[in-house]
Amino acid sequence: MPNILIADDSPYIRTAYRRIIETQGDLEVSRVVENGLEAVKAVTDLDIDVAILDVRMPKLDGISASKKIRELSPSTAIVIVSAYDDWTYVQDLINSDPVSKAYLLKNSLDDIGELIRVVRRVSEDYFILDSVLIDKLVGYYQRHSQPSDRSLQDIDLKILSLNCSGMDIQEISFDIDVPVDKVSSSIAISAALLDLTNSQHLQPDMAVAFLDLCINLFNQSS
Amino acid sequence: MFSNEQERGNTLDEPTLSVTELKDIKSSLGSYGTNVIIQSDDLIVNYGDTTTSIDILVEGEALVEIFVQNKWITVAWLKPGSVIGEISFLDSQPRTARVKARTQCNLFRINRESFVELSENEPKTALGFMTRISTILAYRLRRIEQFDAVEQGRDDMRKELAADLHDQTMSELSAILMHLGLMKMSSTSDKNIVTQIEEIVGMVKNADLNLRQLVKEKGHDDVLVVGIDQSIVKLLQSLEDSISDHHIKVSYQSNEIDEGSLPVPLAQDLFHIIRQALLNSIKHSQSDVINIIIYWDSEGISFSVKDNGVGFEEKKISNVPQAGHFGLLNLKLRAERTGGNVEVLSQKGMGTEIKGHIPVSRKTDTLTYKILERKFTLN
Repeated sequence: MPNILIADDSPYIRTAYRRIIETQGDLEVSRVVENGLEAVKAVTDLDIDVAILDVRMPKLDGISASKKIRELSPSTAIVIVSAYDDWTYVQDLINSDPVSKAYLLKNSLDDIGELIRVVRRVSEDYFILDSVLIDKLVGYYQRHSQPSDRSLQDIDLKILSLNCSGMDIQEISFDIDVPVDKVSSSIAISAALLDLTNSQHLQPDMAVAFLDLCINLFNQSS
Repeated sequence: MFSNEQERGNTLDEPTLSVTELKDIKSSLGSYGTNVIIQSDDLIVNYGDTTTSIDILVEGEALVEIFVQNKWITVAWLKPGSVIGEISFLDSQPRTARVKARTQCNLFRINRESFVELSENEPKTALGFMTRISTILAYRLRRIEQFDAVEQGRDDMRKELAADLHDQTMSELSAILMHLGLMKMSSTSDKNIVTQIEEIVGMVKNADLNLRQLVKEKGHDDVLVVGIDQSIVKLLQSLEDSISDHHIKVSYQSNEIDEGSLPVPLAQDLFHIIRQALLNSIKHSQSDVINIIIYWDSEGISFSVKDNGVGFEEKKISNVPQAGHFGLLNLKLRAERTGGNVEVLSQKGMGTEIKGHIPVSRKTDTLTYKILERKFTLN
């Protein structure tokens, strides 16, 4: 049974996370802490599979805590939950190590099924972005890339988005009712555009490459 | 009549001449200058005048005023030892502000022509005088630069604090969203309830948006309109709604501080000093009692913000902006700008008091004013 660590300085949020995760019989909340330092300490005491960390916490912030946690326990997956749609936080989180990490916005958590899905999926080497953030990236791509370079069609962007949110090809196919082979060929187009042709894994490389591309387009335009 | 304050005139801290310097200047320049007496409320220098004399305030108090949006606004409070009109004296351009006597003022006035004469007859004395005037000008320029830097720091600190307050409320809103999500999940059979939950989710998300907007726009410049008492009460009321970590009882006491025509810039500085001291205490002291007192009488305004929190090792407030200490330095600069002072009294475990004094006398008898006390509980 996956062991889950919850770290947030708000008691309300801690209770809410716990109640959400406890709706799932096969997930266990092993430790609940109030700051980043205690979160780091928890992974030295226990085997933690997934650490859910707030960005702003006393003593040690969530991103710094995630780095320390990975040094001590390389197999622990990280889910950062933030009130801020700030790209520098996202880039700092995945800097040189995007594997098994997620960045969610607190405002999206009314969909509790999403939190549960991300907690389950993030351990499988994914880099998962909040869907609000993915929509922003798609917007940057559509507004700021040169029309001649804009080889991704709406359907490709939709499939790429679902991939960034942590779905595999079967799930995407089911979600948008498109045959698996069509989804695969669309992913191949995106992979080629993102120079990922030889990549063994769609995730996390694809999500990271798409993030970098869109942020660069946005920065160049402003 | 000089207080000890003016004895510090020869340090960089005060742009005024010390008592000794005043005597020296009067004796060495004696025959080149004239003693002038200006009655209370009369003008020493008028805006746009093409006079080029320089005045040294020997006794009395004067206000420097500029014309903004159809009214005269006080921008500086001059005390004995202050130098008036040095810019026009140097560049012969029309006066850029007016200076009004707040009380009867005794001035030592030197006009351009006599100064030219002085520099021909006694070049050394003239050079000495000019050098001293230049250091005062240089001081003022330096202070403007420094103040700009500190204002920037203050702005950063305000943003940080806003982010903190926002973060707490945001967390509560997110927690509400998650609990609503749980309710929705367990009520899928009842469409009516699901619809209602979705409406509440919409309201909560809207509240969050409004909050973000509010944090962005929140200004603190309405001291101009409502006065210090009202501004502090409003500030405390808004904190009552937003602080949630622990209970803090705050009392605010004053003697009708807005009655008796306190110049607006001075009121603004005083409000910002109190505000900054209060926010520092809320943020860092872990106290549960904070007392704010402002008292204005014929000696001047005394103020104090005192908590019973953790305190810290007492140290002098540095004049150089340091990361994390913008708050204290800003207090000091603001207090100095009013001609007053501020000090921080603190010891580990013994709480912290930020107290200060602004030497502006209340003209009316202090007993006319009532002591008002308001109490707040920040939860």
